Amino acid sequence: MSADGGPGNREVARRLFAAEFDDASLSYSESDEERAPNYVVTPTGARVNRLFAVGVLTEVEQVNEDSLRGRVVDPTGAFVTYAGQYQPDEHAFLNRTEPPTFVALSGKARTFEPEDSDRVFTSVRPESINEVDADTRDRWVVSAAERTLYRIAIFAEALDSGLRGDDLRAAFETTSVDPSLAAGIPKAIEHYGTGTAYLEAVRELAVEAVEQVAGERDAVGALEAEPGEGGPSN
Amino acid sequence: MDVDKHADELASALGVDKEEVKEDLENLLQYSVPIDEAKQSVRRKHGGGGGGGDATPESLDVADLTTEHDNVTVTVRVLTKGTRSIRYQGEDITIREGEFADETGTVSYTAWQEFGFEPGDSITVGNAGVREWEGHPELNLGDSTSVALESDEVEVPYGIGGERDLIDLEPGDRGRTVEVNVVEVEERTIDGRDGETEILSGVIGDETGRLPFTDWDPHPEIETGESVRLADVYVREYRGAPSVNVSEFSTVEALDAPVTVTDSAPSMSIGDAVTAGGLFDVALSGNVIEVRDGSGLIERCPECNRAIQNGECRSHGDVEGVDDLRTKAILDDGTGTCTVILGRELTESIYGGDLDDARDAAREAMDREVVAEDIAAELVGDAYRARGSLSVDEYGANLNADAFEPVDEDPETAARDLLAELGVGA
Repeated sequence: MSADGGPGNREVARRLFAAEFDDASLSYSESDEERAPNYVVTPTGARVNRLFAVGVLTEVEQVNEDSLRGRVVDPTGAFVTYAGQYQPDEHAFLNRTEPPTFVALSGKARTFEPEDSDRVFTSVRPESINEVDADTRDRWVVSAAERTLYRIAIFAEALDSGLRGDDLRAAFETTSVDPSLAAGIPKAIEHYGTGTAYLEAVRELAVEAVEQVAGERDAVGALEAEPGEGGPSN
Repeated sequence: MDVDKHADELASALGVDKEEVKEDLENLLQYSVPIDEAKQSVRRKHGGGGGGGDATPESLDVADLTTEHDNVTVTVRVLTKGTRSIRYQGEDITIREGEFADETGTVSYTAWQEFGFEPGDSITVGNAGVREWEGHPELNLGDSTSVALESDEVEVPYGIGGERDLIDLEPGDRGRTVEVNVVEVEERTIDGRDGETEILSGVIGDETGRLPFTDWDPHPEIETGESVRLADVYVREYRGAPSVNVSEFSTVEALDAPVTVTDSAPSMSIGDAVTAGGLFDVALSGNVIEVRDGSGLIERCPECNRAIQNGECRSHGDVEGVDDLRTKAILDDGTGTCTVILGRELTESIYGGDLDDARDAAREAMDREVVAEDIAAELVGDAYRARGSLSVDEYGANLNADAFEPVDEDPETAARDLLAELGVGA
């Protein structure tokens, strides 16, 4: 049981693969208000406030007196989640659960940039973690692939259109494209300069993950492309 | 001056004999009346336009109508016509509403009197007012409007008539005709605008879905299990979902051939369902990603049955709460999110125990929250399919579930289906 999201416009829990989330380095807030939602934008334009992931809990580590760090691994990489004193239920879950275990994780997307580093790390502040079975993980892989492939298709169209920034956002508003993608894609193009090589690599990643669930493949290749490869600004 | 051309235009706009119009026009022109004045004058004589305005209303294609126009003339096909009684400034007025179309688009209309046109007719509507309704132009046909029947059919790429399946009805629809089976109906007495009134309310269904309905002028043909054709009904929003309204102007006919009511609810993504703004009977699938506060072993007010906290009801103050079991689960499929509300029975089956078991567990743990925690441990993360009535309003998107079960589709099959769709692999 975690804090109540309350009625009204609850943020949708986005599905994306760990490898792409790991490549994200942009976070922003829609306004300066303290309660304005914070978003992490991934290289393919997913605008993520809340995410939902299912994978294998492989490690739990004590990072300091209050906090535990868990790694939730999907076919492409790992989501890192920190549970501290403000997440007592999730902390307790990590504390008592013996890896490896299939778990479902939902929570808020975060970025973190250590002072002595130019790398940006992503993590999930958990709202709920629970033990699930292998079928639930496999279903999640299929749904994460579906959402990812849809996103990449829209992104590719946006690149082709030649529109950027506010013009692109305005063009999206006349279509049925999910408003969160309409906001995320222009920001991703601006920040990452995401190109077709990266889109193709993420597409391949998603297809391979589905092939693994279908029993046609043993492992999913690594996501080695950099977001800016083959990008419009290169 | 080409009097013939002006006479042609006027005659067709007014639906009167061209020779007569031409004679009137020529007569005025002999007195050197300007042609525009002359036309206005003839128009007025034949009951058209002429609400005192000094400009001839613009003749427009439907697609070119904007809320900037004041008065317009359009030549259109009548798609639908519905009759409704409204109370306007203390008076009951019978109005006709529906849609017109030409080949460029459709426009809604309201007629404040009976002009006599019917769906399928091709007409020229002269001097119709334009008003704005939810950002769109709508035509207002009043005293100063003329309607003339056209002999040439206006071709339109739209269906004519109000026949619809239930799934296609939307709040705001007028003049609809549906063939349905009455799933359930009850008589109710309500305190209406004219005091106590008997009405019928219940649920109707066809092969595409089910919707609630109200009959404001009870028709005896509407009985549980009967199949009926409801002609000239209108659709309003009730608790965030469309509701069919049968009135004194509706025609209700018993059907010989029974209408089959679908057993299944339409399935759609949560994003689409929430965007649709509420659905009476829908099936949604997603993952339960959280169990919200107010779940598990709860207390209700003995007066109003609302959930209470700390023995205090918002309406009735300190009360002796009555125990109940309920679950409020967040169901999310990555396109949208809603709260699924499960009543006692469904909650008991998830919890694996009844109200007494829950009370025992709470007593033993000295914490009522343990019940909600057990329910969350059972649900969170897994994929479920919920069926029920979805409302979308200031309280968010809420599905009152009649059924709730785990998704049992084999993920390997789902993966193969997706690959086939993509054109890769088997």
